[in-house]
Amino acid sequence: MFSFFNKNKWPIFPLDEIKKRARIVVIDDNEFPYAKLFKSDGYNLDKWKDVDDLPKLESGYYDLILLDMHGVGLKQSAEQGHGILKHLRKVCPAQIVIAYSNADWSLKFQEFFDLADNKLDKRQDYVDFKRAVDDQLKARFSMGFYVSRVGNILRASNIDEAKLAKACEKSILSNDTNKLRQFLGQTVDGDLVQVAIGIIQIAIALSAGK
Amino acid sequence: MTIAAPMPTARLGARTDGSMMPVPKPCTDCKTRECEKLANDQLAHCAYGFNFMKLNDHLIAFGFIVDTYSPHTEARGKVFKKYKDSVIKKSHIANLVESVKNAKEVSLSEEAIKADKAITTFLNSESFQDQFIERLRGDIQKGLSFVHDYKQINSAIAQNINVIIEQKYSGVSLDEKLGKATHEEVAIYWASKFLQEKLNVAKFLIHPEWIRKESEMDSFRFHGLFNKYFRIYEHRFIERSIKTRQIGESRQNIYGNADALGVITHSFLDNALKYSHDNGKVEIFFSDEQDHIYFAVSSYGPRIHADEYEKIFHPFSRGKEAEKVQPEGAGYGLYLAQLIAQSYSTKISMQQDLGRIENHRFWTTFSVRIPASTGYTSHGGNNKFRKRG
Repeated sequence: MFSFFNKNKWPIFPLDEIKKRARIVVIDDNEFPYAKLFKSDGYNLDKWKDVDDLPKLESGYYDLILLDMHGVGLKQSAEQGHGILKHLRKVCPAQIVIAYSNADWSLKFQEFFDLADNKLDKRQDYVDFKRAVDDQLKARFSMGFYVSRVGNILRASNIDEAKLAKACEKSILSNDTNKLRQFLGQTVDGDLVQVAIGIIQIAIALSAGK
Repeated sequence: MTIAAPMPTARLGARTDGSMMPVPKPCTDCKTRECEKLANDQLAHCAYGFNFMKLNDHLIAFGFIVDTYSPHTEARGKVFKKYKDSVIKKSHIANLVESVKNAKEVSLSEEAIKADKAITTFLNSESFQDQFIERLRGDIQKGLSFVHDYKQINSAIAQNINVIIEQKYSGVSLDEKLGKATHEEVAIYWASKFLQEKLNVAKFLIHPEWIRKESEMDSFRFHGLFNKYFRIYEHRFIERSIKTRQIGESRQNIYGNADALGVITHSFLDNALKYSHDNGKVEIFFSDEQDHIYFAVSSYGPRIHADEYEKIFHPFSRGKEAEKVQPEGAGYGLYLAQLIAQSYSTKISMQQDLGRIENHRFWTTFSVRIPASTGYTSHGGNNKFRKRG
């Protein structure tokens, strides 16, 4: 059987393979009619009416979360969807979240959309939703995504970006985080090192086909 | 001072449409203005065949036709046929003239005129753009409180019709599937898009800070943006048998907020659709000029009186004749379009050809010159307006 996984090389995932492997959850207190279209197009999609299982979201179980801003997450945060997104950004910065909502007019809501990886208006066509999901999933299954996420969280650390990118790539392709940990340990705060290594470990697991 | 006369009047050279008769085109074009030189208060006629009469030292009634007036010249015969709405029975003339002579200042006092001028100056100033909406924001939001509910309902319609079309029809793109869908399904799909754009206009009214929000700025082809809106309107033009024709093309890019600039194209098309008569025609012009794109939409629309030329761009203001054609209407489309145009250092103009009339409507053109972005080519920019697929 053909294998996507070769040692020292990031595997290339065709979109059909990505769709099979990826797990998507839609969190919306209203109906999501596009669920049936996504399912018939071969996506693994769950629909929650509320944030039913926060630890599952924190664990990175889902490759992509489509998150509504209003009417969800009230048990966990007064800021509803926005509060959930802020929390996820802290505990699992590699999580991909597409913010979608009807209420996108007031600038006070913009932080929610700015914090997300992409935004969608509920009134958009299915093809727009599908394109946005495909784009994010393709990114999720690329090495550059993880390298750039590490770069983002360490931006304030004044670390040499080119060297950091190289160290991350080497770490992923060699399935070994020790050298990267040493490299980061020279200049970066211990907690941040742990978050960065966590991101790289997700990439290693993905490239190893786990 | 404005006099509520049924026929056109001239006061110190300033001409005003009558409440029942507009200034006829020959009078608009007239160079001699012999009516304004009349010494006595006798009913007289001009070379074009129209009657006129001096009402007082400053006021003249002109541009009307008394039915049994003599002498009956050839010119008079022509205008009699062409300007039937300007004919007055001789038995009515005395009463009408008397009522004008005795008329009070019925619509605007001198102070009101000054206030009106001040408002126009203020509305055209930059400070207005910040202050006006800020002051009215609460009221506007209350008035548009239904918008959020409508957006929710519309998203349910949009998603469900998408599901129906996607499930029922095969094809590589949504366009192909729409091509196979029933008339009713297509109508629902485009009605939902139409409503979406209508509701989006309110966004910039309530939150004008979005117009130039940096995160929304991008480079794109203006003609592509127009096509997006045209697709939404096309279905409605066809429904009313209104023929549309695009003249010219633009390949230049502009840099801006596409959704905000879309309000301009949307408003032009919306006006053309709203005020055209069934079986009418709409012409859309594009032209790439040195540093800007000329864009105009022409159609037959209700008469816009001279004193309304500026006012139609005022917030919540509509032309008198427009209200007769379409009693419902908030009157913020053109205001918002002008606000957006001004924020891009340009201005929307309106011209009406009083000599080109169809079904009692006049050939009306709304135009704007949008600054083109430099350093971008027609192949550059984003992919916001790519075909669905």
